[in-house]
Amino acid sequence: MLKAMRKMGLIFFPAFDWAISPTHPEREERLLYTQDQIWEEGLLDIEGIHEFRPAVATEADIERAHFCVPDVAHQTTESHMISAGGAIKAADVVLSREVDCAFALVRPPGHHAMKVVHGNRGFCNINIEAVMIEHIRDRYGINRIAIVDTDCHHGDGTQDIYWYDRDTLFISLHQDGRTLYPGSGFTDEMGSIGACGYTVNVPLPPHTGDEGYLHVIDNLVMPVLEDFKPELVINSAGQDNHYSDPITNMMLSAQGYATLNARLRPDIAVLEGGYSIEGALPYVNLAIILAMAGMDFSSVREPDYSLKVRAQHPQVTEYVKAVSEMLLLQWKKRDDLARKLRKGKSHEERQRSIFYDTDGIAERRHERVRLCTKCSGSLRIESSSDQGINICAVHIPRNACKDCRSEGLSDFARASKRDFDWIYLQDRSSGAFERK
Amino acid sequence: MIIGIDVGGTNTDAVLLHNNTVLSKIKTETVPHNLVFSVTAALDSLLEGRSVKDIERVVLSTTLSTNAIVQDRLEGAAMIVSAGPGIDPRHYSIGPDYRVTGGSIDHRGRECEKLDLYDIDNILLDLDRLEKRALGVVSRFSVRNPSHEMAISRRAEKSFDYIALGHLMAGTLNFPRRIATTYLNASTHHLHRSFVNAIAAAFREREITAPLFILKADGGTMPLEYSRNYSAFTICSGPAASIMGLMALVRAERFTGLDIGGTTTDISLFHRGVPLFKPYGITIGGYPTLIRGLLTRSVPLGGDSELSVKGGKISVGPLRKGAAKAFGGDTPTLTDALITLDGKDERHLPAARQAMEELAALRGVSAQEAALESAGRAAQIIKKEVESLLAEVNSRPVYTIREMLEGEPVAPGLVVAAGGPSRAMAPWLEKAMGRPVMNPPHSEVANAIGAALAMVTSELTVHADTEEGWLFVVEQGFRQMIESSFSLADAKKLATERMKLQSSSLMPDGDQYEFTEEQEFAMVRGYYRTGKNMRVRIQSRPGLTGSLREECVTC
Repeated sequence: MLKAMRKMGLIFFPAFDWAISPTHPEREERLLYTQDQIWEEGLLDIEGIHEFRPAVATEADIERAHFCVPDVAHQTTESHMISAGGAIKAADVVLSREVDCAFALVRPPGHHAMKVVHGNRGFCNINIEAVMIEHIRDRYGINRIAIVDTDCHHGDGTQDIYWYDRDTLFISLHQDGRTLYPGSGFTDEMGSIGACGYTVNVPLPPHTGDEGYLHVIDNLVMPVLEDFKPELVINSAGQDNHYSDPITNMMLSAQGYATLNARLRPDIAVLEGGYSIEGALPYVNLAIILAMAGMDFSSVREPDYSLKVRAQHPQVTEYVKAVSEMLLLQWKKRDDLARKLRKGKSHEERQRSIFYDTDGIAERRHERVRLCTKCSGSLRIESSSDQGINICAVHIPRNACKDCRSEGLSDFARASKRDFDWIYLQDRSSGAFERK
Repeated sequence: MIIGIDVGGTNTDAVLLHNNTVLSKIKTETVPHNLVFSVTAALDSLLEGRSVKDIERVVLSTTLSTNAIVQDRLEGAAMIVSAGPGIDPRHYSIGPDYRVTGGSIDHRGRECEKLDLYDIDNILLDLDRLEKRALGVVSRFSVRNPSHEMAISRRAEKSFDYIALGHLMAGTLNFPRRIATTYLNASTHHLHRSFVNAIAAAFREREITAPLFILKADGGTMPLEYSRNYSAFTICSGPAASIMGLMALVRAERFTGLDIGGTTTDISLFHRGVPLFKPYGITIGGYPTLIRGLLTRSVPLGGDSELSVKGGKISVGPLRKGAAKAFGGDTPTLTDALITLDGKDERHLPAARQAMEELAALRGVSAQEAALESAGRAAQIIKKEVESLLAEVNSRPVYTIREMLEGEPVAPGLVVAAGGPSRAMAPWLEKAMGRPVMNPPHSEVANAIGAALAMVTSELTVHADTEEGWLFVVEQGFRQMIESSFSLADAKKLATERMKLQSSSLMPDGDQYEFTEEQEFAMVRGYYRTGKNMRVRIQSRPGLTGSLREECVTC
């Protein structure tokens, strides 16, 4: 009889009655064949693999991570609340030690959803990992968390949410932004001055295969994690870098995914994208579940594997090596760089334009953060959309020092309803969320 | 007249019903190695002074196959398994002659790798030398396309007397369980067949022409003749008989059933008037299977449970060391406590009280107090188990938003207790659980009543794929081409018609059918709709041809 070497929790919620639109990649059918494969393989009968029903996230859960415009109810459907709730459940079963690790195989995905939410971007409204992480911090008091985002698209939403947070290490491996949505995730996007280096972007050239991905894991991700010493490792497990994915150009196989997972050994994995719903997802998910459970996955192979998979081009291999090397160096020098950038500044500001491709909304955003050596600094965001909505949002970090907190509170108090439609305060140090 | 006979491991219970009343009931000891005799003896004593012409039907429930599995007396059928990429099928090796061959089919039922006929012939040559009589053939995803199983079966036809095919066992996806189910079916086939032959002969001898049925684990029946190919479905029909019996004795929309025996208490749950199923299938002898079964939880607590003092408190069970002191045993038991509390059974009271006094001395209380504490503790254990079973059932995963948000939770309702100690336990259970507890009359032969009144059940799975252009009625091995306009409504209509095909006199009417799954997925390839993928599952709910509720005190 088969037995899991690591006790594993599976939260499977295929949302068979939800789609963005009938022919959209994010539709009812997406996890159908994955379910077929999981059931046919009898995975849930294996000793040590347990299936859990997702929780339903509450508005308060969402408001720990986001500023939804105008409010949570406008930006979410039941499906988002269950998907985020699925990630929360995964965290709960791991942190209560019911299982050693967990995989939230849920949809819709979340890693393109940013701190301010005006609509849907890249199939995402709610960043389910961020909602989960903030739940973990409040419930379990865990601070140092690493997110390794292996989705083929840059996890720009997660990056945005943790841009100012040096307790959250965000590493994204993705297809180079010059060749794929969302067109970001370059090596020089390293986080704010206060969290300089805690965002690591690894843009990979098209046609990177198992070899390239595993090289980055072994030579960059693992050394950085070793250095950072996270209390928890989370994998945003997008599966769209598979060789059969219709909207990307990578060459990863089910074997590659499983090996990557076995080396990374995440505590929690959360499904992100992946739209080769027949050719990839059933096999990749099967392989990932086996790998997480510490079981043999060597006989899992796509039916067309031998026809489609070729060795990675040597040029790709060279490029990947060079990028990894450069990024590791960058990581090691992060503190020097931060010191240089910080010199003589009390605040850091940035101006951004954000496009919501699914909903066709353009957002302009101005951010101003207090540079503080004691905490992550309070953050003030002004955001306006071409839908004619102006908001002001103030974020006070969990570890806020007295000065930062009082600056945040006074920013919130000073902001006037004459200038903004809505004014928000997300005080993570007290747990309060207010809107005026 | 309807006759129900339940041949259990210890007792054989039988009832004769007429117009939904019990005309006659008997309880005798089972003759272990002659179940046919146990059946005919019960039958003969029920029929004494009655005419066989008045019999409408006879329904049996036996432990024949169950015992063969549990006692490891299986014939040990050979297995040929074809899998393709995925978890290595060698992990599911079962029985003495388990062979793996090539070939693979995917989730849509498309052939990804052809069978290796040369390899199969070699396996068959090898098995020929072993002179095996029964064979099981299973391929991964055979419920989407059975062609590999059928091709292997055709090649093996000459070498085997009986071949069980995986897809005919159940329409559900689960390759390891399909392997185990097929193996158990093939390995119990000959044993079950001789039983069926002997019973048929015995009935001919008595000139009984009424139809004969046999009970299944799902609380339904199948015609005895039909059961020849489905011996595995009779496994674990014993608990199902009791559950159906409770359903016959009580007609309530939701209730909790407790069958309190000597060693164990079996808990069952009834929701919307029918018992709940096990989520995937029953597990027997360590094998998880696809055999549909009713949900029960067996708690090691019964009349013979040992009473002891642990940590200054009385504990009940989980051990059973023998009969109650009141009945000549050595250790104080729950039964002793109950007899003491009741105080009416003059014959057994002295010994029971003696047992309580021994226990009370260890605990430093009076005999009466010890008895009270014991009964209360036993009721608490049952209450906790009922709660945990309910929690488990209500936390079962669901896969749609509608079910997630609107699913009606299973609630305990009233409590119906059957079995020896149930009457004496009722007041304590009422107190612990805070709900009414009832003991319907005839509950001591609930199992035989359940068998007698159970209806035929069956289940069909239809899988239609308009892109590939075919549909498959799995359990019937029926494949048909379909047009691209084929709809979910068409699939449901076809499922209903195919259900009626296998109907018999005891098959419920069409309105008893229910769809347990009806899903239609638009298949989109490259941003265009290319077809529809439909999954329909229809079942006849476990039901009864009548009920004894007229005799029921409180309903």
